[in-house]
Amino acid sequence: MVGLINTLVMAFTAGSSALLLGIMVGVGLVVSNHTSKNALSVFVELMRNLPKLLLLLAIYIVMINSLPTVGEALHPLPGVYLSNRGLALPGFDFSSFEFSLPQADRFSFQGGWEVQMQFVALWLTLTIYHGAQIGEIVRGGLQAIPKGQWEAAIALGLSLKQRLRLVILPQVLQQIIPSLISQLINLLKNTSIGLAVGFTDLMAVASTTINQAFKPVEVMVVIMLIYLVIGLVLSTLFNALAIRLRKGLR
Amino acid sequence: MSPHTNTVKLNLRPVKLRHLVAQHLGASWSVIAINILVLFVACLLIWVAVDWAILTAVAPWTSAAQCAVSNGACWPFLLDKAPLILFGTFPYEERWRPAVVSLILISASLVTLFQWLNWRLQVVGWFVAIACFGALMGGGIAGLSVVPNAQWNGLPVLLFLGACSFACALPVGLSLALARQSKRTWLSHPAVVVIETLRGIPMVAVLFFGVFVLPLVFSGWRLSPVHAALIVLIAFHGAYVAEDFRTGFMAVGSGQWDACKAVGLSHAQSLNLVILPQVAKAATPALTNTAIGGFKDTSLIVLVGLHDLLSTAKMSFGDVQWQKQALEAYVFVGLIFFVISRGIAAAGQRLERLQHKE
Repeated sequence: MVGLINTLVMAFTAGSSALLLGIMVGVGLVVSNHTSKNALSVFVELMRNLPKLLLLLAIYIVMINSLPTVGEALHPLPGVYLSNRGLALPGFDFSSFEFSLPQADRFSFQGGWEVQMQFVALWLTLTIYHGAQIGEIVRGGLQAIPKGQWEAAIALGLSLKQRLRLVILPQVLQQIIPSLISQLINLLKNTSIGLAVGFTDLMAVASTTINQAFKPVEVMVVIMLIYLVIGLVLSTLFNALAIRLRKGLR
Repeated sequence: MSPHTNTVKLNLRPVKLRHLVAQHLGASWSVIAINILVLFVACLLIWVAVDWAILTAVAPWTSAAQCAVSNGACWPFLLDKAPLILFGTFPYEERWRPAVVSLILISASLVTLFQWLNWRLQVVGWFVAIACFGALMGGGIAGLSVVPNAQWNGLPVLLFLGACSFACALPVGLSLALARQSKRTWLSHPAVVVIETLRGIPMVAVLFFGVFVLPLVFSGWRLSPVHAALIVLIAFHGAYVAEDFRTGFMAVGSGQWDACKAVGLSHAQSLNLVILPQVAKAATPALTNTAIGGFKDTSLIVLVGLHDLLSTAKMSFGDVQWQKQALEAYVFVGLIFFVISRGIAAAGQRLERLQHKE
């Protein structure tokens, strides 16, 4: 159960940040100047040609080796601490209904909301890996819009914002939504690589259960069913959302 | 095609700086902001990388002892450990065997990717390559010493699982796609279930299934983990390949089948002579993508206890002495993966160009 919640939380946070990064990369690939375009395509190429597990392990080991201990934690924003144990954020305690800031102890943080290092590493990996793929999808969608559409919108006297909102984006969305949905479902499936750094997701729980109870067949069947059901539910939800979006934009 | 190139701004006063900015950074504030952000992040990352890899690094020709005091990369470590990362714990004096196996697998992949031989020779070649892998890695034949399964690791395992699984997945995927297309429901329904199930679950789960469940099911066969992984990888890639082929079939359209019928070809003849050549052409870009993705995902076998490049990299910095040198090992492994993936992409593009010329 913990595994399922962790998988879903990871898929949601990484999915939203990957979407955000992907849209920025995609738009950047289309509108920016020559140098930035090259820099962005180097990033996309790297992500497309490196295995995600390698990225995850490299990011994780670099974080562990180079981030300071709790006592000397990086403190970029008030209430935010980054150390080799994880990320400490201001959090809301539901049992006492109090808002608390993390306080650095000698080896750990008191109060606030602590995010494990494994979570941060996996989140970062999935964000940049799928962000690049989504960026490529967005670029394709933007470039598939014929030049005439832009020119027609200019001819009508629309501002840049209006041009995007009324003419370009509806067409782009229609083009890219199927691939975006399959990317997000891929991301959900890819949360299972968290096993490599000890993130307790669905797969990690399954692996522990197999080791302890030694009933691999049953456990694996259950796990596969859970992934299938989540995938199906998500794709139905996304498809419904896509249909509504299309109607809303028209 | 960008939005700012279409806005024609009539600027009659010649303002030099503004022209320069518009030319190099963009015409509107949002575009300028995007450019500056991208350039800033890129410069930062390049600076960090150069600083780590060159400026503060320990040069490869110096002694490794200096690495303890430096924060940068330790290249002597990599020179020292590269054979370990490539071939893992294979017995030291027998290392020529994994090296030969890797060469055979690389040349077989090159032949297939660039289509140097006709397909019958290629199929024979792959069987020879698989046999060579078993014979050379396992030993026990022709005076070669026996090497247990657990010591097979590094590059040959990665290449074997990556290349052979995809090579075998092509016929499996084609038959699955044909079964799914079939009008007989006892063929098409199971195919749909198999394809959609395999596509719906993560590869890690599939690998777990293969390595822990398959040996129990086929307990009489004494399946080694490497071969169990190979079987599930073939099935997994087969499902994705089947979908690529199905889009190819859809692109060809039913008119071609009707035309074949009109000319009087049998089902097998029309498939062989008319449909499949067109399907292969239409499916090539998608197949290239699947091949790259499949090859990259082969690295996930680490999670079920098989040793490919990622776990030999881990071995290389396992000593206390080398604990800080993890990133160097991963950069080396990443370079190998990058080169191979780019190679597959280039071969796919070449194939597409050749097909379009025909």
